[in-house]
Amino acid sequence: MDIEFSEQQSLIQNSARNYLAATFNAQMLRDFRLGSQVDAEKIWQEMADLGFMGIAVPEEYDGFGGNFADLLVLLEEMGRVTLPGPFFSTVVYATEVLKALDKQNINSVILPAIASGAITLALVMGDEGNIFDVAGLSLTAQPDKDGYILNGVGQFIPNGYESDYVICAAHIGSAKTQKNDTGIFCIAVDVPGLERKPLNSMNGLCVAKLTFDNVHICRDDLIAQGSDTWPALEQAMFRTAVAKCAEMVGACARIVEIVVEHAKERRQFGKPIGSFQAIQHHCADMLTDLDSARWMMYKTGWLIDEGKASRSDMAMTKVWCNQACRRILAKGHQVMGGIGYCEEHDMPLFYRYIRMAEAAMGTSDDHLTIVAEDLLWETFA
Amino acid sequence: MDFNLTTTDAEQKFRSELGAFLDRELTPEICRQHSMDLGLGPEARAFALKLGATGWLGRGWPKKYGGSGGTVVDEYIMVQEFARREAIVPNIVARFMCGPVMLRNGSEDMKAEFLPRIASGEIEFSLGYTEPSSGSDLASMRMKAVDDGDSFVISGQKIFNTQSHFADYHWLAVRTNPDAPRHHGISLFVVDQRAPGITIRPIETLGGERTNEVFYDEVRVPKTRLVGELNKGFYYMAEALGYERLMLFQSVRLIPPFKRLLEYTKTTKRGGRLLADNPDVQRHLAQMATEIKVAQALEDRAFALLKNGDPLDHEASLLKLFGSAMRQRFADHALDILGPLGRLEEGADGAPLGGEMAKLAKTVVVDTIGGGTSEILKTVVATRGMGLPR
Ligand SMILES: Cc1cc2nc3c(=O)[nH]c(=O)nc-3n(C[C@H](O)[C@H](O)[C@H](O)COP(=O)(O)OP(=O)(O)OC[C@H]3O[C@@H](n4cnc5c(N)ncnc54)[C@H](O)[C@@H]3O)c2cc1C
Repeated sequence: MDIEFSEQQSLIQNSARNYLAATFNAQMLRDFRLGSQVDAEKIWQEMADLGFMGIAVPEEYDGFGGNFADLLVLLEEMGRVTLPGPFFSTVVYATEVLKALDKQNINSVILPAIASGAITLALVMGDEGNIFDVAGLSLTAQPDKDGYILNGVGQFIPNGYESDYVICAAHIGSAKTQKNDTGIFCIAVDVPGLERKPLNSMNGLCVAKLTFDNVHICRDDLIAQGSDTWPALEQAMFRTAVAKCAEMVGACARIVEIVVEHAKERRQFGKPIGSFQAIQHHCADMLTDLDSARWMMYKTGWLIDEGKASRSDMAMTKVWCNQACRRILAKGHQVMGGIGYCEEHDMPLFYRYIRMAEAAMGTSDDHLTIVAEDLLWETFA
Repeated sequence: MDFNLTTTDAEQKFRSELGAFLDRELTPEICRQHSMDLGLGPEARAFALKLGATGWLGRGWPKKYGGSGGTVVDEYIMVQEFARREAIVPNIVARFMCGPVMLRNGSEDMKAEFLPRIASGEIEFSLGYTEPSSGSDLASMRMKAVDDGDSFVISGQKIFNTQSHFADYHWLAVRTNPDAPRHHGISLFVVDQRAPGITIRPIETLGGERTNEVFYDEVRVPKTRLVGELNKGFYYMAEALGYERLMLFQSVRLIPPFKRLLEYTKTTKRGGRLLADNPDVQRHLAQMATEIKVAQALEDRAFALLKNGDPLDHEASLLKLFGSAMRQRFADHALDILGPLGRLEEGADGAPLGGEMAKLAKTVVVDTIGGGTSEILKTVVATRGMGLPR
């Protein structure tokens, strides 16, 4: 057993930490939240040049060929700065879906473009961005003579407003219950009939509502269909949920650092507040939650790379990260006292980020339901 | 045992008359101005005066100070009737925090000058305790007042003084004797919030409410504005904080939002199924309802003590501890029920309940911090309430 990062992973960690720390400051992050795009393109290209976009793209598609754990290392760094923008939806979610569907003709076009930073993507899957239930898919695709007509609403789509392409899952035909009639489409956002509207969320304008009103698309835009589509989607979604955990862990690692520094420096009653047992216990609880979330996340990442991760392993990881990160956030605020509640402090950046992440790629309840299903109906390993 | 809030006809009459008045006069705009700490707009000001004119705002205070008779029961009825309508008693800081302390400890002149104006709904106060280096440890405050004949000259800085940008008076604690032991060198003053030499700077918060930094540069305050005795300010401040902890969170305030949430789950589908049919959602709702009831029982207990004339000590702290943590759990349950969409803010297309739970979740963060942190309150409960050694 060896829980050290590989040389490769240490390199990723260092280059990401250095670049991101030098690039983002709190004021910029607040501005991004309110819709600023200043330097967004430049930063995107710099990240691509550093190899971030291609990290999980196979070498045959001009990527870096890293494994899943490598991706987690990078995402943890991104969480530390609450990275805004379409990185996650493009490089994690879309890339995972495309890799799982494994259509060479499509991947040979899109994956190199992702790796080079040329395009960004968003996904329209089920209700509110999640696909836990085939009945919850947002869109329908009605076949017509030279393609399909898409209708429906994708609500709460991460980065749906700023992406170049949308990958959507839709029911082909109108019946909404069959897993094997799911089709996956990839369409450019300027297609007539697609309306995109940014929505103000707890973390600003990072999600959008996409309305498909008789959107005509040609047959070539259908990138996958049939009985193997659903398992592929599900696989991609669970992996993406674990990836979301890496971002959350990174954010919480920063919270713990900020809070511990404060507990050492802030004095009340003639002593550093960190000398009070109440504060020490909060800090110890935070580290227990952080370490447990972090190593659960990396262990599951390793299982994924070994091809041994069950659905439950991945679901449990999101459950625990959601729960642990929520506690870390609350205790962090508690130790900071009044100053952490001021917008000018860093804590609200993390508050907003974690509140969104805990609902992204499945809430605790969603994943607990999955774990329970697997416990009761499958074998627990 | 009797858990009825009102036991006499007079109390019952007050409650129903006040209720009818509020149903008629309270508008959503007034409630909004109350809740945001952004400032009292003309609507909220007019409403306060109207309530004052009924005499009810002074209920529980002696007639000679603008009161209208009645007892502590009436005060509690007032707080509850506002809370159940998601409003706040106008000028609550003046009426329920500063006013009572003045009534018990203030000079005749001070009582005659201020209490009638509080009872008439005319004036509001802001609390000036916290300093950048004195939060939980208020006894360490440094801002100081220097004796200069018939006035004091005050210089220094306060932080987190909510309402200072619109309040009429500053309820200000400062050091008046630097040589005395920490708790014995602090005095309380009532300062005209617009006096020359005062600068107020806004602080934006996560929850969207505004609070302030307040700077004093040689502000001259007449000695008649000293509250009670010189150098007893720390104890008056503690008394006012006791009232604050008692009044801050009324669980009935959560009932209307809870009902809206309940209704939402009965009318909204996710993943093809009604939210209310989801066992997880059901459990969250049941837990929330249970905790509201529990909070009410605890509040009833505190009120019963008050009514008996028993001094409230650690019970007020315990109540605030429970109420604040319960509100945070409430918001967490609400976000769990509402899922991703629950993170949409007011004005966003499709935001459930107009984004109110997203907003609530952000605002409750401060509940376990402001008015005394939970850590400090737990120490109060353990030592003063349970006799554990300090
Ligand atoms: C939105 C807002 C509005 C406010 N409004 C007002 C107002 O109107 N007027 C006013 O005067 N003040 C106001 N306050 C200030 C508020 O009362 C203080 O923030 C609060 O008392 C905590 O002080 P602090 O922020 O300095 O935290 P600190 O005292 O620095 O506390 C930091 C942490 O240390 C812990 N701690 C401190 N001492 C101990 C100890 N002995 N044992 C164990 N743990 C300890 C605390 O519990 C907390 O977890 C407001 C604050 C906020 C955020």
